Parts: sequence; structure tokens; C-alpha cells
Amino acid sequence: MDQAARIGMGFTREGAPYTVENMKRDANTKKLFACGAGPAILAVADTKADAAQAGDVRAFLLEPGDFVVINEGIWNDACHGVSGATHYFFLSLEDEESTEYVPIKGGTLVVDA
Amino acid sequence: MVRPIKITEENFKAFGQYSNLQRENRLSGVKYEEYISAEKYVYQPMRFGMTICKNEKRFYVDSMERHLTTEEILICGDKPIVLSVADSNPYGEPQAEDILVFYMEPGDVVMLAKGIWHDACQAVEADAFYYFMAHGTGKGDEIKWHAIQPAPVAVEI
Repeated sequence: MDQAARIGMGFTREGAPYTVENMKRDANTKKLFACGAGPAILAVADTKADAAQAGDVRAFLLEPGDFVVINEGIWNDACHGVSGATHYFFLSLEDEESTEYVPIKGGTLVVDA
Repeated sequence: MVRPIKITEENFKAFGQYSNLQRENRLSGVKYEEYISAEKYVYQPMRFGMTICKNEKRFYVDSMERHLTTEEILICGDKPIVLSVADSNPYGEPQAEDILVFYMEPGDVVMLAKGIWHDACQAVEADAFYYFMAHGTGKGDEIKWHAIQPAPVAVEI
């Protein structure tokens, strides 16, 4: 991270398979993701439009020890567990006002580990 | 012998800042719960690190380090850990009588103020990991471990 950031924590009750229906992005902040209680899946899309395109969605498996920093403007879903509930951490400048989930275009995607 | 105590904003004030992310701002998620700190912790570029620690029901704090040029952020990772700190003179040596030990659970975040003596964390059970973030050179006295004076302190979980 190359800027000031807030520290965040997310909880998910779902593991794979799950559906990606909505994604959010923030033009003003990079975002770091790291695993919490176990492996996590992070779905991202590099769509230069007002909604993520289903064809652009890529899902990555993060193992404990892995962390990623996504660039400003990259669409992302909340992380999911691989086999059930988990938690994860993120660093970001986002707040309640700055990001909204937007339905993805081109259909709902199923992510399976 | 020292026993760990539950960490609170009040009792950690002398060492820096404590917060629990689940008591901070909730982001509007549809199917998820996401919480984010109201405050920006990372004022300058920092490295992001991870420590895997083991549990010993009774262990000795025999040395500590402190950083004069950077705060250090500790984020409890997968399972509970204990953190040993001392508010002794940062230009002297860490003193046994100043040592306090705090429990941290997933969701707990602390920012150690510059100059606060601290040991590596220990797992409460089996093993656990935590993340840390710090800016600094990572050189010389900034990362030198100093022996506890006059003698190591036993911690019983």
C-alpha cells in the first residue's frame, strides 16, 4: 500500500460453490486482501465500465500467507471461504459512502473451488 | 509471574491504541459482514508481515524490541494470541516490572506507539498467526532484541 489506509475485516458464512452477482470498486484506493481463519477466494474483474462483465471475472485462491493488492478501479466481490465460513482482512480507504455493489452484466457466475 | 489480561481501549492507552474491528464501521454488504476502521492507521508506506506463533502454556519473556521510528500495527489473524509489552524507557532497557500481557482475538487490532517495548506474540492454543505492519529501516538498533532487566518474566496463560 502506498497511501494511508483503514483496516477492515470481513466475515462470510458461505464457502464454494457460490454465485457472484454483484461487485464493487473504488477509483480512489488500492485495496489489500489477506486471509483470516483459512483459505479464501477473491473474485475480481478488470472491466472499464459502470458494471463488471461476467466474462472478465477471475477468482483467485488465497492461502494463509498470501496477500494481494488490487489497483484502484478494479471490481471486486467480498471474499468467500473455500469450504465454509471464514474471515479475512483488508486495507482500504473505502467507507460506507464510497462503494456500492453493482449487479454484474452478462449473467451470474458460479465460483467453485 | 504475569497472567494475560483482557485488552481494552483504556488499559492499552499507555502503549498505543486498541480497537476491535467489529465495533467499528460496518460496510453495506449484501451477503457478507464487513467492518472497517474509522481511523486511517497507515500514515506512511508500510511493509505487511505475518508471524506464525506457537503456544506454550507457560513461557518466559526474556527479551523485547522497540522501534523508535515507526508505529507497529498488530492484527490478530486466525486465532487468539497474547501480546507482551512494556512502557519502559525506550532509550534504556525493558524492565520486568513494566511488563503487561494482553489477550487479543480475531478482530482486535493494536497500534504500538513508537518506542514501546514488545515481544513476539504467542498463541493461546496450538498455533496461530498474526499480521504486522511497520515502516522502518529494519536495521541496527531498530530491530535489536534487548534482554529484560533484571531477569526474564514468566507468563502463564
